[in-house]
Amino acid sequence: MKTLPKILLLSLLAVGSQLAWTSCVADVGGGGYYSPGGVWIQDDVWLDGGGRGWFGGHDGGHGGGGGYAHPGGGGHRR
Amino acid sequence: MKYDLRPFFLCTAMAIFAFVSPTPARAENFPALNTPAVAGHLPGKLIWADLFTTNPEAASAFYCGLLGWTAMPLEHKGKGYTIFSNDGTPVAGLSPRSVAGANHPSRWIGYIAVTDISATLSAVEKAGGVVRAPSRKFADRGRQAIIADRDGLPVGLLESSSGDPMDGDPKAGAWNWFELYVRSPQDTAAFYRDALGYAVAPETKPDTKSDFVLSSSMQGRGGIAPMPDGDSVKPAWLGVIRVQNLDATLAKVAGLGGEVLVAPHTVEFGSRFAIILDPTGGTIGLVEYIDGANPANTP
Repeated sequence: MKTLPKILLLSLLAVGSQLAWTSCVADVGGGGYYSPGGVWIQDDVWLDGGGRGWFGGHDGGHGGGGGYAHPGGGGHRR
Repeated sequence: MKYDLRPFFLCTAMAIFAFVSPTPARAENFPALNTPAVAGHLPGKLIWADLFTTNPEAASAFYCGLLGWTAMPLEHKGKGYTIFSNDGTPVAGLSPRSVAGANHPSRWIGYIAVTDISATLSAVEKAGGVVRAPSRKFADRGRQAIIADRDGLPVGLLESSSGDPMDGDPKAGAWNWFELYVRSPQDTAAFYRDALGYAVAPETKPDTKSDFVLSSSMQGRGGIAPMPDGDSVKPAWLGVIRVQNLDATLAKVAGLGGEVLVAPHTVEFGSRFAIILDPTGGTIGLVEYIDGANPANTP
C-alpha cells in the first residue's frame, strides 16, 4: 500500500507542473486575470485591443470620421 | 477481508488529472467551410472571423439581430463557442473570453486562407511577425493558427480541408473585404507580400497615394491605409461585411445596443460604407453595392 501515496503525490505534481507550465492564470494588471478559456485558444493579453479605437473620433480628439476604406466588393479585379 | 485499493486510487488520480488539466478543449464540431467540399483554394481570401468577447449573449443577439445570422452554440468540457451562419453557411465564430475584472472590449480576428499553414507560419516569422497561437488541426475545419503581423495586429490563418468559399458576389451578411489602418502602409504591405504572398499595388485614386491594395488570384482582398497621427492611436484591423441595404441596417444598430462610428459615405466604385461598434466593443465595417452592382465586375 505504500505505492498509493506515491501515485497520488505524483498525480498532484503532474497537475501542478502543468498548470505552472501553461501559465493558466496570469495577472493582467488593473485587477483582471486571464485563465484558460475558449475552445480553440487560451485567453491572453494580445486578445485585448478591441473597442472603438479612433474610428469614432472619441479617443484622443482625433476628430471623427476616421476609417476610409477601399471596399470594392468581393474583390475588385486588379 | 482485505481489498486491493490501488486500482481505485489510480483511477481517481487519473480522473482528477483529466478534470483539472489545462489542456485546451477540442472543438471537434467546428463545421467545414464548404459542404460538400470543393477542390479550389483561394489563398489570401478572408474566409472566417472569430469574435473574442467577454459578453457572448449580448454580442450574439446584436449580430443575429443586425445581419440575420443564426447562432449555433457548441460546448466541449464546459467551454463554449458559437457558430454564426449566414443563410445556412457558417461565416464566423464567437469565442467567450475568460478574462474578468477589467474592461476588455470585444475584438474581431479575421482568418486568411492559406494552402500550407506550416510554410506560411515560417514565412510570417521570417518577415517579422509572431506566432500567437500555433497551428492546430480540427477534424472538419482544417488547420488554423493566429499570428501577429508587423504592427502587432492579430490575424488568423486557415488551411481549410474543404476548400475555400468561391469568389464572386458575397451574399449579404458575408465577409467582403478587410482593411488595415497602420502607421507605415508601405512596410505593412511588404510584410503581407512576403508573409502571405499577396500581390501589392498602390491605390490608384489620386487622394490615396499612401494606400495599398492586397490582391491574390487577380482579386482584391484587402486594403492598407494610413491611420491618424498620434501616440495614442493604435493600428487596427477591420473586417467588412456586405449588406443589402446599408441605411436599413444602420437604422437597427442603436436599437440593438450598438453605435454608428463612421457615418455612411460613398467609397470606391460607388459602394457605400460605414463602421459600427457592437454593444460589447467589437467594430466591423458594412458595405452596400449601389444598385446591387458588384464592384468586383467594375473594370
